[in-house]
Amino acid sequence: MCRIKGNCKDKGRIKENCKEKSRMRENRGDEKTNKSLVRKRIIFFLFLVLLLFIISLLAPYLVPNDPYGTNASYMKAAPSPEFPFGTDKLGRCIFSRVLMGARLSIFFSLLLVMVTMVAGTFLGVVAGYYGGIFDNIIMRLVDMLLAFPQLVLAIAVAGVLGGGMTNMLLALGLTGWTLYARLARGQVMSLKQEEFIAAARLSGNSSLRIMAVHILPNIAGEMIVNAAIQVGTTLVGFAGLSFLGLGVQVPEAEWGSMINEAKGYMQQAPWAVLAPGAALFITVAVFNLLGDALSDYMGR
Amino acid sequence: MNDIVLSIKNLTAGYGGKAVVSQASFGLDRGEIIVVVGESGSGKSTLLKAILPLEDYGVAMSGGEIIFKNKPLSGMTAAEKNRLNGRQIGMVFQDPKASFNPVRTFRKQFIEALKSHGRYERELFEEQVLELFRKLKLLDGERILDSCPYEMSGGMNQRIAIALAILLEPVLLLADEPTSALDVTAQEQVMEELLRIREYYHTSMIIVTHNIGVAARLADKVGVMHRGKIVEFGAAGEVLEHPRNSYTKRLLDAVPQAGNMAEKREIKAACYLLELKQVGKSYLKRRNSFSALSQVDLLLKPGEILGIVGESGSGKSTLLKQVAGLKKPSEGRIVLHGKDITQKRTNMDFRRMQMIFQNAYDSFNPKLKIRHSIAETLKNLGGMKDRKEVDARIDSLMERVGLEPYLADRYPAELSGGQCQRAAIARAISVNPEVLLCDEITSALDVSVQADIVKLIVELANESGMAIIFVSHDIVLVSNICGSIMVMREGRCIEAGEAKEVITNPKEDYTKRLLASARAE
Repeated sequence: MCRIKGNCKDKGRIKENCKEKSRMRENRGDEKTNKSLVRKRIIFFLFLVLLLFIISLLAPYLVPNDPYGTNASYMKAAPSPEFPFGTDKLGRCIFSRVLMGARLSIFFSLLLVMVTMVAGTFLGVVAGYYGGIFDNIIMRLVDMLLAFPQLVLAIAVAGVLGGGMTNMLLALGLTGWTLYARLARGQVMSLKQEEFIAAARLSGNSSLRIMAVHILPNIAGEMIVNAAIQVGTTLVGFAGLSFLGLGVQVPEAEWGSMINEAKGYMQQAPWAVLAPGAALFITVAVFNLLGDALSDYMGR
Repeated sequence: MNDIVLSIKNLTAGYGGKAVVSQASFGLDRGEIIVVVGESGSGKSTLLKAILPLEDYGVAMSGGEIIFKNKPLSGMTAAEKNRLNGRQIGMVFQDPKASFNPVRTFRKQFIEALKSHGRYERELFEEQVLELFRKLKLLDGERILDSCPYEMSGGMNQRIAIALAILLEPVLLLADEPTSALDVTAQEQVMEELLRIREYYHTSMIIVTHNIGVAARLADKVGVMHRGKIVEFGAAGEVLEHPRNSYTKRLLDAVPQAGNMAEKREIKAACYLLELKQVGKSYLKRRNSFSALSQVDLLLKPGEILGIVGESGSGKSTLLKQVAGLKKPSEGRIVLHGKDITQKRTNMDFRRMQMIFQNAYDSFNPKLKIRHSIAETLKNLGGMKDRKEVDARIDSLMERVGLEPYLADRYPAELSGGQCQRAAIARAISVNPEVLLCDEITSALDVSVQADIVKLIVELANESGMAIIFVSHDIVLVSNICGSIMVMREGRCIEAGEAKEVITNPKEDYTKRLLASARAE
């Protein structure tokens, strides 16, 4: 992660010192204040993301009550000091369930985005660099997968393979990598024309090294920005599939399935729907805003 | 004739409180052409932007005044200033493609320009424009009006952009490097057009350029700018022939002169180092095969300096890429040291042949420090493993090319253009190549930097005895350093021979034309 951050900074510096020095000189004043503001924004949202991540990891130790323990005398209870977000129809503590849900949603979303980013970038770089038949095969595959709406395809996969966490990850991952592959391929194809790639070749570098040392760091920033935004989409995808009953199975606590469960008695216990909904909303917003700030920082 | 159009007194202007131009003063008469010369960063473009009252340039005047036709610009309201733009003051930019929308016809864009200034009259339009085109010797005006900018060459686009600026009959025409992006022959036409405009319309002009040749050709008066100050101002002949300021002298000395021929070097070796046999390269373009290079033969002896001259699109860079091994030729053979390297190259072949590129910034990975990039070459091709050894070698290389060793620890973007090009030279010579390929290595640099870089290259060649292929569009520069010259046009070699022979006694008309426009500078 720290290597990646370093790259973002470099990209900024290059942008600052880019060839159009005269134009940069004009608004260097604004640029600087702007940059430092954006930097603060990034740090702020990164902090929030980190906080969410820690919560998701430590959830089992943070929960005030057993998230799976039913309690017949406290069914659909309103929020109280003992149950901060109230209880659901089985008397389970909603606050504890939301925390446990965070563990599932956030951790697996990050994992999935990470894996798809690495795989997609790898395939995209190889396709863009070598071109030819390999490029054709990968890109036609991407086209095919992009022809389906992501969620519909995920539903189909989950429907065929059955519900459950692993299948849900598979379903979302199947299409997730295409975005990065497309992006990386385009970037590599334009980078390939740059003189420094030619210079690297003349310096006796192997193709593998050119891709790893000269191309990858130059496109990493773009990939990270997209990944940050993609986390939000994946979170919603998870919740959506679980809501439809294709993802996490009861009694496992997951935001989507909690909303689905509680929607039946929304009028008696609105907190049972509101709490997981709000958690989802805040998490997605934080990731999207981080993505926005990152892309602002890179001047796009 | 002698009414003053524009006078500038003690102008200080800059961006965000920082003065880029300071204490500039001069006056411009009707029909007069002032050329402001200076190197990049001297503030010459800022001077123009201060005169043209466009707000989005962000140029702020912090002192002095600009008086246009007896009215100070600073006292005008935004609306009044806006009315000046185009109608009274016209502007021509460096990049001819940037002046027009590439996919709309010139007719539409001319009409649009006239309409926005309230001067469009349907019946008169055609006649008015064609008349203007006739005066400017833009042949076949009808056809021009109905074509799109993308169909035209850069030179044509620039001439039409100037015509558009003149259509509104401004009193003052400002031009920011109008010829810099063009080939010599196109440059010539644009300069002729500007002179014709002065003849017909008595338009006053301020032209900013880094090209001394353009100044000599066009200027009535020349201003030399250095670090934001006008260090010398006066009649063109006076300034260019008897410069008083030391900076002006240095600037003029750095311009390559046609007379300075390279000394003939004794080349003893009998065998050839590099041989190209009937090399050609063709691409598929709209289903037709387009030949970028055809049947080029080239022989290079060890220690020889060969110059390749041609305009853009002549195939000279394509040729160099084939030689370097970055592209494979579609026909012919390339032989290095008696070994055919047309299809496959080992690292040993790369070590024997290194290349320096036109844009030094682009030739380094922006994410890596200079040291890292050079070390890569040393490790891959030089077989150096020990880190200390590599570092010591880089330090000595940096010193050899006239850079402080600590600059190696910077990123390319933190160096100046000249420094970066020196670092690129250091990388190229780090493995002691036998052939050094130079692709327009000075065309992105200022004249004085160019002179230093060329001197360095020649020195290095004399020291190590490596052969050099020096590609450039500047025939004078090439004749100054090269023992033999090859002239390329449309993918073919049209003339080749000893430099002296080609320069003093050119056989081809095209070579003669190149030389003529170079001499005119």
